[in-house]
Amino acid sequence: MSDLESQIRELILRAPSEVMDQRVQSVLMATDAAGAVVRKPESMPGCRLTGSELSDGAEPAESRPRLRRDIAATVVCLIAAASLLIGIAIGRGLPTSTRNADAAQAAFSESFAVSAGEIQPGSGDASQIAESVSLSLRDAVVNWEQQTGQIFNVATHVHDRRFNMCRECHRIGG
Amino acid sequence: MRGELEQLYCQHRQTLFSLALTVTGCAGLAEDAVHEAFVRLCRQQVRPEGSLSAYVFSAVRNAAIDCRRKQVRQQNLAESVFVRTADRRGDAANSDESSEQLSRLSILIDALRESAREIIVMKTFGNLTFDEIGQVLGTPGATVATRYRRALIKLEEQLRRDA
Repeated sequence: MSDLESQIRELILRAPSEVMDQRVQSVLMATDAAGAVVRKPESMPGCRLTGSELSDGAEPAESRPRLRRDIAATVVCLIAAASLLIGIAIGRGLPTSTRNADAAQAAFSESFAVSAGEIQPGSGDASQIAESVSLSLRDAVVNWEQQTGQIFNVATHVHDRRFNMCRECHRIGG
Repeated sequence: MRGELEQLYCQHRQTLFSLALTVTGCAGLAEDAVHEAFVRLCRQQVRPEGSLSAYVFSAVRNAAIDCRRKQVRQQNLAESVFVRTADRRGDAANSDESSEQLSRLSILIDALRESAREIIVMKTFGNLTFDEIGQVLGTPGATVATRYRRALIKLEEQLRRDA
């Protein structure tokens, strides 16, 4: 250290007033108090359990909203299950006419397929006719005439061996 | 961190005030700056990396610069950071040669550029290293060392000239 530096060190700095010390100390103290609150939230009265809560074995206050959420979810699940069961019961209680119609349709299709198979095995006519009947009888006839080049005889078609399906239809529908 | 700040304040309160006074040129503003700096420092949750001393000095300097900017300069604010020899020893001691030289020295330091005064205050009275001062001023430590030496040379020349 040079002489000049030593001389500079001999100089006396102006001292701040006590007011500055008090202001800064108050800031530091306030920070310390705030830090204690942050570090120890359990020390706050609102977060502490009372003696009665502890002796009754009550859950902490923070778990109560969770319990409410669990109850709400259970209720929603029960309502959904009940709705499902009611829907199934209503479905089973529907009028039987619809089911009969479905059964009749299935029986008709089955008999029609069987009879069509008896017409001309291997010719493919039966399947074509069966397909065309699903459209309409008139369309089926037109389709058959276009594909075979023959004329469909309305008067004799019920007795024609080629049209067993027609006999089945007439037997069912009259 | 609060404990460290408290310790730093107790250790460097006078130097921090002098640094602020060097920037503001007004004792009242310097006290405001120190207070404002510690308010800002106490808001921080994380301890800064590196030298905490340099960080605190830097905070005080920045607060002092802010105070100086806010101040409407209707008068020349150039209060000395030193206690004049006459103020502390009385008129009877004014004849002392060394005290006169110290008084001259303080006047010469006050006449230096602000950056040079800051470095002298932090180096001589705050015992900060050149790197720490560089951290405060935002300049490399080597640059701070060069400025410090130049300031000392300039002071020596002026003292020799006056003698």
